[in-house]
Amino acid sequence: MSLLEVENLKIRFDSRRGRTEAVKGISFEIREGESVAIVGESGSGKSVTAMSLMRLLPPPPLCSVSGSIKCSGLDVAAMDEKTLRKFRGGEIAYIFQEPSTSFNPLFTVGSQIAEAVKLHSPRGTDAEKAVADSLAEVGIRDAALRARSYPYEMSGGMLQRAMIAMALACRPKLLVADEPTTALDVTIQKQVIDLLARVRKRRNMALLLITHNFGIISELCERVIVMFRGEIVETGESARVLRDPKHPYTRALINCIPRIGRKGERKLMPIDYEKLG
Amino acid sequence: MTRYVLKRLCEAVPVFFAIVTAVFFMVRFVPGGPFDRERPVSQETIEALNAYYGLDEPLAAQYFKFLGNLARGELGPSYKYEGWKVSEILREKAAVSLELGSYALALAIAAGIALGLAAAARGKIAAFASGAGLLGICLPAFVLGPLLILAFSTKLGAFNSMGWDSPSDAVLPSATLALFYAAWIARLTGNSVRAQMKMPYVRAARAKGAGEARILFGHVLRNAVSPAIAYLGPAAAGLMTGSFVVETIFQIPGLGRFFISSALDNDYTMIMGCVMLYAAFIIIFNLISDIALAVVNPRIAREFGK
Repeated sequence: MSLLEVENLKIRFDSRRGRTEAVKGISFEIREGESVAIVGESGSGKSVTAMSLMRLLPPPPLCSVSGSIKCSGLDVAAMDEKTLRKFRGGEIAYIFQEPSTSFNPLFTVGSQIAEAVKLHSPRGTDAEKAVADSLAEVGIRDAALRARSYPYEMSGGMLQRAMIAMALACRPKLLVADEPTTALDVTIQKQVIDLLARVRKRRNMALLLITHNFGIISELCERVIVMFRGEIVETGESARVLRDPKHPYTRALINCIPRIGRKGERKLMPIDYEKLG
Repeated sequence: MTRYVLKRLCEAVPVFFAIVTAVFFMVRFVPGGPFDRERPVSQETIEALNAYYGLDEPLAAQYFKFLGNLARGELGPSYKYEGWKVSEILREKAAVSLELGSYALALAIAAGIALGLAAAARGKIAAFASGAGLLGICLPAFVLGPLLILAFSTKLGAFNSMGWDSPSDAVLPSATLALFYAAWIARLTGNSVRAQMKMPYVRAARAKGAGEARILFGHVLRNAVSPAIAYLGPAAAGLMTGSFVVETIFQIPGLGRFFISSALDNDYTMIMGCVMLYAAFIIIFNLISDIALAVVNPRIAREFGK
């Protein structure tokens, strides 16, 4: 069954310097429990697409969104403030690129997770227990102690785990992860990807991964959507796309993945935009 | 925490000592003396007065005598107001200035933060709040005070135009005194709220379903008040020691005018009293402001432990 349906989504930014068409009419869907990646370079429109799913973009006239976004059959654009607040975090949760600045520096990590829990659970829920449980679920040891830590007392990798814990605490149906590993070093990246794969399977939760890195897709996502200049240029099963990319831009992106191999076997190729037109 | 406060107070002692010493000698180098008047006074009279107050002794001797008296809490007699000790004047006048200053401070904080939050909003409210803030900074007390008197006293008859007798007499002067500080706090808070609203944690709070009011008051405000708190340290010291202009306009028997008159009169002991009181206030209010910053920001609080 389809969880998220996006049809003919257009996103436009207007400023004094002019108009930018960030997304030019894209359509896609995500089924329940499915994991999908949107791949593209900076400026391809992948992040704004993800943000538009929860109406996180600036309000008009700065930014105008048209087309239809439906989640569990509900029209996101038509939601009133109260429904939208329940929807954000409750139905779709979001993980950001920068874990160290996505937490409020003046409050403990635990209190910020507890805030998310309280916003979405019925009265009388044991928020403290929910915080400890979700921190434990993402593999943070001494969860009770860590809940009392401030963001500056934690490493980037641990904060990203805590961010995932915060997203999971409200039991969303879809988790949007916007470049969740970009700000982390390579060994930590692997841990976070494994963690995302694990919790997704355990919870049977849908995942939308936003990335420019084809390398992490094969481990995490069943399907991939390739975006270029605000349009979807290719979509398909991730294994198939990686093996047999149809669009030249997809091929160019895949050629950008560094691999360890014999010397001189393959060079890293910069993307030749003139060929792409 | 207690250790930090003690450490700061100990650090303040040499600063205080340096200020006292510098001012003591500086006022003596200013031409003229405490007993000079517009009409010439005979040389014998001045010499007799100087001898009576010990002003004929060498400067170094006077300085050590002053320190000795200070150690016993004795500030000496005023040279201008006969029969009054400096400590008596300070106690009586400072009480009035402290009271007025406290009202003005409370008003400045409340109005400043409210105006700052409004200035960070969008649309007409923000334009109005920013304009009001700018006006508050530009409008001097000697213009605002008479305007308030004209509007609320002469026209509406709601308050007395001057004096310090009934509780309502504090309203107009504290408003006059507060406006400038409120406007500064509004600008500091407004700018900092605007900057904080662009931080990723705001978007993250929105993404987890927090409403705008919750984001503003629960997340952003605490991050945004630090500049205002830092400003409030010296600002509070200024407010609490009274204002020459406001006390003159509203005929309030406060301390502010003594800061000016004692210097004009070469009233050495009174000058020292005013300077020491102001220095003490600066030290104390800066300490309070630093403690408040630590209460707001746990990262600063951790530095206290060291």
